[in-house]
Amino acid sequence: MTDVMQVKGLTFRHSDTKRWLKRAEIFKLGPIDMTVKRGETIAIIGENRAGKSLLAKLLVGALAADDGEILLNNELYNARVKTSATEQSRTHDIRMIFQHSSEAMNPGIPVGRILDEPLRLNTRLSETERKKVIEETLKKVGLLREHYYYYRHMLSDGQQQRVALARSIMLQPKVLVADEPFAALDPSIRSQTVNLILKLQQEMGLAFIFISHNLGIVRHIADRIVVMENGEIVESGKTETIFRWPQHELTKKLIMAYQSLVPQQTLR
Amino acid sequence: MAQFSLYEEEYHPSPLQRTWHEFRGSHVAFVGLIVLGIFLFFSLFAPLVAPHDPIAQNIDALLIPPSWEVNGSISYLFGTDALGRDVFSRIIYGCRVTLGSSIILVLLAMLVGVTIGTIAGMMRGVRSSVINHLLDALMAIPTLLIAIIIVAILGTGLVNSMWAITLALIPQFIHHTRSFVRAEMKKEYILASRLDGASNRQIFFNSILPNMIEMLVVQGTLALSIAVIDISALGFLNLGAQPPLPELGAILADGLDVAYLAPWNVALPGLTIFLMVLAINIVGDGLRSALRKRLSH
Repeated sequence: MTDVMQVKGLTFRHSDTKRWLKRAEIFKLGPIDMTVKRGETIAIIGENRAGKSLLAKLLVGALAADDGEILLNNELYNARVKTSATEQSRTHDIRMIFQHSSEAMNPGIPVGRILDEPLRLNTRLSETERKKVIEETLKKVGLLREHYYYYRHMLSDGQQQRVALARSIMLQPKVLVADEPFAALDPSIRSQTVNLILKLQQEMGLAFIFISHNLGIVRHIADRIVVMENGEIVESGKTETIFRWPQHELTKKLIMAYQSLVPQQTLR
Repeated sequence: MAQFSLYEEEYHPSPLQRTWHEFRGSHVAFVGLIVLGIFLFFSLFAPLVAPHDPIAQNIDALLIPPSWEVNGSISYLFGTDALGRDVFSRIIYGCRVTLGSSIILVLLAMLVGVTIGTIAGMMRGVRSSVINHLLDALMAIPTLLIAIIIVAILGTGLVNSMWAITLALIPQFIHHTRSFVRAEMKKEYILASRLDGASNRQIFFNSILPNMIEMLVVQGTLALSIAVIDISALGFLNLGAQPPLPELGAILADGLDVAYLAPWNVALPGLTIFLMVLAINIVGDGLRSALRKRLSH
């Protein structure tokens, strides 16, 4: 397995000097180092306000970091630069699924046009070719071709999640970053989505980084776990290792809380 | 994955068709649309519809009552005024002048206001505020007063009064657009398109504008009814359109001289203005709820 992404010394601070008409806020993330292998699933867990969502946004380039490097698919990106239209290969290779898929869908335009946008901006395909790609992707995530013409309000939560997934795999990325993708779904839709993602991961060789509070899912699908606290990685390692022999206090707490729900297993 | 191979639905209503479908459901709005449509038809095809020349004076036919009166004549449907001009033709041409100029000035104000408001909404900090409040001083002064100032400098006329009303309408468009764009920019789907590599301009046209139409329709119809009333008020006060030009307010002012002798000269243009504003408001209201329902069920 080869490394598809390497993160070195990724740092983010809120401006701690007081500027004019701006409140000072102190929160520091990182420095964060991590490597992602091809086809690997990494779960980021931790308490609220640990900086998990921030890390996800920094990885995809939605926010500019203060320091650090991201090596993606053997191309070096300066994490200090925000993703712009010129940095297209980064857009290609790393994609994000947002926490609330319904808010990540524009209510005013149909699904087809939402899915068309990444293709239109990042590829040179003609209109008919784009439509074909969109229809294929819709089928791949388990929707129908008709959903091309649907609006947000006509879709259920699970279908919206699928559209978000379709949007993120539209450009054949190498890495998929998801911020609590399963939080808002009911158990059956959740397991459907999980299975769908696992299937796509096998088909496309995607690396999948996701944030979750649901340790059951984490244990089920993650290869590795990263535990975060106050903007720092406090522990990381193989899923089973972390679940059986947690080292850090926070990890122990989280695992204990999970284990108490699953009575037949005891902590060794 | 779908287990069945189903036939694809062949008919997919476009957003416009959906809106039309919802709009038709409300009868009041539909009647308003018909009335507004008649006014628009009059203003577009005034020379074809009007039976007489609106300015031609006929000394043989002074103050003939409307055709439904005992001594009225069918050749002058709404009667004639003190100079023997056909009131019906004048009202038809009046619709053209009043409604046409109002539509033009509202479109102009909307274009300018939305442009400035969008720029202000996409920027941050002090610069955004400065642009936002650039034309606020105009909101403090009533339209009529601005018009009087402009008229005092440039002289009376329809075009000058149009400028005055346009200036007065712009700030509201700026404010509404800016707050809308600001609220929209915080949403996640904007971040999603930004990650796709969309520039600010593409984000505005592809993501924000489709959602802004509802707001534009509401503000546009509001502005249109204000514009119609203001244009006719200025015409009535002799500051806007000048007498030979058939403008509804000016016709009303002309008829006021002979109001006791020939009340139809006042009542009919007044009724036309009233109906026009009512129809605009009803259609705007219906359109707004149709646009909202389009995205909710």
